[in-house]
Amino acid sequence: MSVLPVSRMSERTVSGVLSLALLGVLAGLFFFSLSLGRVGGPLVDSLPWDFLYLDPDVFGETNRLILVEVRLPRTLLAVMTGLSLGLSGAVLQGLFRNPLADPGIIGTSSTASLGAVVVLYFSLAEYSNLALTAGGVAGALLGLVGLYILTGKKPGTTGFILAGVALSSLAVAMTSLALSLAPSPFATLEILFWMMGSVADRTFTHVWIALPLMITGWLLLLGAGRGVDALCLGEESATNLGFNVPNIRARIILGCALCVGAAVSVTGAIGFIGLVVPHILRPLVGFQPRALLVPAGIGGACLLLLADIAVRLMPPGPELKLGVLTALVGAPFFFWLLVRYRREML
Amino acid sequence: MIALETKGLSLRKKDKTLLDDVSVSVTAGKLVGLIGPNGAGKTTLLKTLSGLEKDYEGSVLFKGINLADWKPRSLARELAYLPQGHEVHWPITVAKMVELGRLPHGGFLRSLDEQDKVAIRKSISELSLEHLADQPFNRLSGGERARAALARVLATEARTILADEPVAALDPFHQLQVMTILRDLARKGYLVCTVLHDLPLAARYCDRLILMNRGKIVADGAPRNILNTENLGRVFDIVPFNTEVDGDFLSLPWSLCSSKQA
Repeated sequence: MSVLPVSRMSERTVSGVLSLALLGVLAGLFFFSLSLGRVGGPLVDSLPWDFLYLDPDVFGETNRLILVEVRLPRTLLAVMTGLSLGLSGAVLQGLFRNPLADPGIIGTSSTASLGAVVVLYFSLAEYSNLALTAGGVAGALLGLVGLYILTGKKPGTTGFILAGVALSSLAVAMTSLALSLAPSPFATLEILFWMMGSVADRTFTHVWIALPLMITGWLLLLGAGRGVDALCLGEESATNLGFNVPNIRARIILGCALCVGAAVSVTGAIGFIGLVVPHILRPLVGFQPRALLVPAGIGGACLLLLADIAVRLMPPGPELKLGVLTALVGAPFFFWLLVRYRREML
Repeated sequence: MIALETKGLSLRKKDKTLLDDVSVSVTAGKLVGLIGPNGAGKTTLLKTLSGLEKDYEGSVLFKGINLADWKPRSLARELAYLPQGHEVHWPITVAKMVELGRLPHGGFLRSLDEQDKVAIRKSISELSLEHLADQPFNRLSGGERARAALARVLATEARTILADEPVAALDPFHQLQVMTILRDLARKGYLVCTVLHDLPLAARYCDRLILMNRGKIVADGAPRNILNTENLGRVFDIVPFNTEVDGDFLSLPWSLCSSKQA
């Protein structure tokens, strides 16, 4: 009998090789990000060897502070957020069997934003740093449950986008309401800037708040890999293959809510990572949903970190917000995707 | 012997009765055909037997154990359901799609072992899909899709196969091929039950036909006892043309009942 693809390099192996390659890229970007900044000049000369020891005599106390207190949390948050968004996008696309599912497009980022804004509006964030994150996660969870109710069991692309638009519109309207009723113009401005999405000026407190939630979310999402593979064949066949579809769905929705909610509450809304990254990587892993998960996560981290580096490399002046940059690049990409899927949608 | 057995099975959805007091027993070794007009409840019965419909009254026993008491994974290794329509949502290759049939056998981090690979190769060659194994499923023709979907079901190595219209959209060659495979599986000791709309194929290949109408079983037996003028007139409003070809029973839908022709 002729050689069948099953005997060739499996998608799993491809996925592993791709993940390792992306990890290499991520490591490079990570060190570059640490070495990059306006204050104190580039640290490239002393990287990557001396800084590992953090010897104040060699490295200088100011440089150490800049590195550990400013650049490290910023870089870590970019990696964590990118990973969360890339992975969420890949899993949601598998669950909804729709290549346009992305936490931003389906309204989850907006509802998470709304949750966080509600917390800011009622000044609950003063009581605990966790309140903002709790608001973000609750908003994301409500948004995803709402989306599932609106789209039903067999979501078509059109119904899917419409549900996302409806949820986003509602969330944006409620957010605007909160903004216009905000007690002071300063508070309004602060909320607005936060909503644009950025990893600048964050501290390790943000990292420690988001990390446990994100790790829980990542584990939930990675655990759903076999389930999203089975869902290739539709919900009935997945059930017949021994999978508990409502259970998989609940785990994915909870996992995404934790990841995206935590990400949005510390960095604001950063869109399109979950759309772009899985789309680019999917053909490389033979379109298999499970094989896509890990590469999409690492790829998301690479892309978000790259975008943050790009923001910092721009000419001096007011720094462009990261969320604005990803939207400027991501939205045309989304248009292009829509044109490609137009035939299917009509 | 493998057996699926229902007692007093009824299923209602939104005040509509889909299955009405169905008591039937299907055993391995014979190819069983489910026939009846559109909306008779054939697909609903097949789904209930597969464990996909859960809100039923009465009982369904598979291998003597209540269907609801089966662990999903164990049931998936024993019983495979082939749905109508053959949906596959990503452009994965035929080989990859067939490989999904091995999911009930795999663990969380386990990759394919030799037994998996043998099962995948065997089911691909059984349906002569070798030349299409590298093709994306969604670029296949309707007939090729139907065969690939059946190959995916065979790859589970389940000994019970419940197929919903497996020959719809197939050309005559592949209709005969799929029916032959199903009959051979039944002869090998598999439990095979399939919904069919094609009466000549049902007459020629099935060992036993179950005729359904309005959620009830109205006749059950050998094809030549079921596809008679009286039954088909009552259920389908048609007159069959029945004959023998080399000792095999042949039944063709021939004309509408006189009352409808007027």
